[in-house]
Amino acid sequence: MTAGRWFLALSVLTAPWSPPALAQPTFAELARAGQLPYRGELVINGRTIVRVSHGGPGLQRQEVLAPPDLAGELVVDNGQTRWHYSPRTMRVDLAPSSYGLRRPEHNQHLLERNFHLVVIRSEPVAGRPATEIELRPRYAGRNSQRLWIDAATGLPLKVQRLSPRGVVLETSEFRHLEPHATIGRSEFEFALPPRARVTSSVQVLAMGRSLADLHMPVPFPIRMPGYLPAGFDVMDVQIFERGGVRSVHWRLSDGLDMLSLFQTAREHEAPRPAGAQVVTLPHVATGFMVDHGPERMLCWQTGAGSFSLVGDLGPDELERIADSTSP
Amino acid sequence: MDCRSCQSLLSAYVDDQLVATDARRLHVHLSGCSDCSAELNLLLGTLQLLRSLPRPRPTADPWEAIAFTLRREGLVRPWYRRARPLGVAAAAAVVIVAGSYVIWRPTSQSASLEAYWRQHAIFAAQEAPALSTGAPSLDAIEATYQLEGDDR
Repeated sequence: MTAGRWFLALSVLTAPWSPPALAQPTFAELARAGQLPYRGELVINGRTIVRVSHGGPGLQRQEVLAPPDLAGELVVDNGQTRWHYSPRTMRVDLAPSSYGLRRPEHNQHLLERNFHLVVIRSEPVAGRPATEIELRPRYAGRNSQRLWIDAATGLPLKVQRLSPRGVVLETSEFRHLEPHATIGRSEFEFALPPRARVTSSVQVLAMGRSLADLHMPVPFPIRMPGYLPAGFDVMDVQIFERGGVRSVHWRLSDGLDMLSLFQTAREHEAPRPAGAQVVTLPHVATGFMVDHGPERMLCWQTGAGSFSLVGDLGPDELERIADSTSP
Repeated sequence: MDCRSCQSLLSAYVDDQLVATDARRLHVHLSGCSDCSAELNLLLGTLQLLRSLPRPRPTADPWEAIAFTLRREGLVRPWYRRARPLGVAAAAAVVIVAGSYVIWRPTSQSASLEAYWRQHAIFAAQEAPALSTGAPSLDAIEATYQLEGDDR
């Protein structure tokens, strides 16, 4: 080897090492990756194992494998109908799929408007190279999300939801993933097991992106709150019935977090459960708040009807929304 | 932060009781320590298990269950064996009046909070599929059990 080549070799070996540049995923790429077919096994919070199949837009199948008390729970959605089979009760709960109401472009707009996408580092998940990113909220008091994005496909291999104070609320992680899997359409059609009963816990009567789409009268004046938290938009609205009680369900989102506002006739006021906390709303008299893990429900009444609001925003935000429904 | 300090803070961490600086220090440690991450996952799994346990409910009519046991053990006789003719007539009248009330009484149903929880959980699980791993909503499954309990 000549002196010149030795010098070249040495200069390459001694050059300061720099890590390869991290891929910078975009919201649009994440949305596109979500359309890919895949099959895999997920671990949720280190305990629950679920086999998932995604056959492309609208096609989902999820079967719980462990722990034993949940094993066999099966959810199949073919984009038109959603079946939930529970082997313990031998019941199949049937509901229309809300896939047709989704607006991926609107969701992407909400994410871009309400969150910063920050690249953290490269870290493999399930033996696959991945980029860890974080969606940081632009508004205080909101949850954030960490995602480990598969370098080859753009699919999220691991997702963590974090509270505003940075506490991990839920982790789901693939322990095995087969992207671009060939999955037959039949996997997304539900075959009724012998002796299983088909029921509908809730009868969805109408759904649409706005009230005008529903063409379904309700026996009370529908009232939307005058105040919505910054960044939240109405995604769609449903009318459903259970036990003779008809309710309107407004579904709102900021791209990551969801809020549900239910309204029914005043005389169908929900009973206050034991342990519910009474809250005073200056313009609406009183209501009560029920905690359920990281989420909470606030119930109240006005002249227009009985309302319930569910979400994981702070109590102050929920109370402000409730108070803005006063006539 | 070492493993011992980290693990002593995990419980407060999942209860959202840590101040932001401690939570950040914990994150730094967790991101590089598989043992403590496993400990955290175990804790989250246990909490999930506790949340998924069925909530105890009394039977629809506890007295009926007790009365059945007493009759089966021969400790009491059924009311229709003890009743005299006049008593039977009076009881029949009571049944007719009560039955009429049940048939004709005004309806006063109330909204089901369990149904609201469930509808919200399904909505939350279905939205933003590009940003999720496709995990089903365990909350929705649990809430469905609650509703089915109501139906039985």
